[in-house]
Amino acid sequence: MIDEKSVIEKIKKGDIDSYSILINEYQNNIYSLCLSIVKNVDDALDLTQEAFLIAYENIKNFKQEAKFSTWVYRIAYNLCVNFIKRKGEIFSLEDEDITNVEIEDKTSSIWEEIEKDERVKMISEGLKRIKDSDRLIIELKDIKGLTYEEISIILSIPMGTVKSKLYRARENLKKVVEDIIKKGDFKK
Amino acid sequence: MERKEEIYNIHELIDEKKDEEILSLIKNDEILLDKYKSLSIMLNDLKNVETEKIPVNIDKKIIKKIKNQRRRRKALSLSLSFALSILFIIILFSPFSYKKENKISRFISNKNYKYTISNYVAMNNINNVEITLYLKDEFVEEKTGYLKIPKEEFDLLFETLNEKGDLVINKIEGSGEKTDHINIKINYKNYPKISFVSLIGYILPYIIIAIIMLLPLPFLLKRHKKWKSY
Repeated sequence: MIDEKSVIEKIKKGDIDSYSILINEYQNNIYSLCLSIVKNVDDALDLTQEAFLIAYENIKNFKQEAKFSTWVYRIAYNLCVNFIKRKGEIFSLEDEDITNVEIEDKTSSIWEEIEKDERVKMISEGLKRIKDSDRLIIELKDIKGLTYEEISIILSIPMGTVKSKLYRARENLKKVVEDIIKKGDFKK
Repeated sequence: MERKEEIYNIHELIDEKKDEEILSLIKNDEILLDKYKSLSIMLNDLKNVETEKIPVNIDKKIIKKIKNQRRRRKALSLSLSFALSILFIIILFSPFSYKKENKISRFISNKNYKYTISNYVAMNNINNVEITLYLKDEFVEEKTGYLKIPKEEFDLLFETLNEKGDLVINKIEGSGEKTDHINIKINYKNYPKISFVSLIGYILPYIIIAIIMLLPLPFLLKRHKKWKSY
C-alpha cells in the first residue's frame, strides 16, 4: 500500500515523477474499467492515459475527501461514456425494478458440485455474457471490492440505485453461470 | 415480506457481513438458505476472477507527456507575455492615432506688446506648434516648438484650440502698427469621427486586439465545462 496523501502532496508541490507511483498503482483498475465499457484494447488504453492526464492537470483541485482511485475511476468512467456516445452507442445504467428478478429453484448443489477453479472460469465466461452495465457494477463491487459509496460517486447514481443494480446484476450473472453449468456450454 | 425482498436483503446483509441477521432470515427457509449458499459461493469465487491487465505500462509515457505539455505551456506563456508586452508598447505609443494639421490665422491689435514667458495656455494632446509672425505682410520671425502666450490675449485662438490640444507660446512681440498678423500651424492628435478611414486606421486595430485577447475564452470555457463534468 502506498501513502497516497504524501504522494499527492509531493505531486502538488511539482514533483512530476511521483505521479508514476499513482499510475502504477491504479493503471490496471482504470484500464479494466475502460475496457469493460469501450470493449477495445487500443481505445481503453488511450482513455486510461487520458484519465491520468486529466487527473494530473487537476490534481491541485483534488481535496482528498475521496480516494484518488475513486476520483480517477470517475474521470475514466465519464471519458468512456462520452467516448461511447460519440460513437453513437449507448451505455445505460438505467435502474430496473428488482421484482423482475426470477426466483429459481434450489441451485446451490449445482455450485457445490464443481471445483473452485472451474467455477471461477465459468464465472469469467458468465461475465462476458451479461450486460455491460451489470458486468461493470459487479467488477467494481465484487471483484475490485469498492464500497457502495465509492461506486455511487464513480457512476453518479444514488447509493440505493447502486444496491438494486448490483442485486439485479448478481442475479443475472448467477442465472447465466448456472445455465453454463447445466448446459455444459463452456469451452475450457 | 415478499420473497424477492428477502433475497435482496440477503445480498445486502452479505455485503455488510451481518451473519447473525442472515441466519435469522434464512432460518427454517430452505429456499432462502439455498439462495444464500449459492450466492456466497459465487461472491467468493468472484474475488478470484482476474480482470484484464493493462498490456503496457503507461506511467513513463504519461510522465513524458506531462513534461512536454509543461514545456509547451511555458513557451506559450513566454511568447504570450512577449506579445502582450509588444502590444502594450504599441498601445502606449499610440500608433493608431489620427494626425491632422490645422492652420489658424488671427489678427492681434496690440502695439509693441510683449508676451511674457510666465503666461501660458495649456491644452491637451498638441504635438507641435509653429508660429509665424507677420507685420504688415512682412515676415518677421518664425518660431517652432513650445511657446508661451497670455491666455487673455489669445481668447479667440484659445477657444479654437482648446478642444484640440496644448498650445504654449513663449513670446510674441507686436509692431508699431495697429494690426499684426499671426499664422499658427498646429499638429495635433485628434479622436476622429467614425468613418471607413477612421475604422481602418483607428478602431480596427483595437478590435483586432480585443479578438486576440478573447480567442482563448471558448477554449477555457470548454475546458471548464469538461472539468465540471468530472
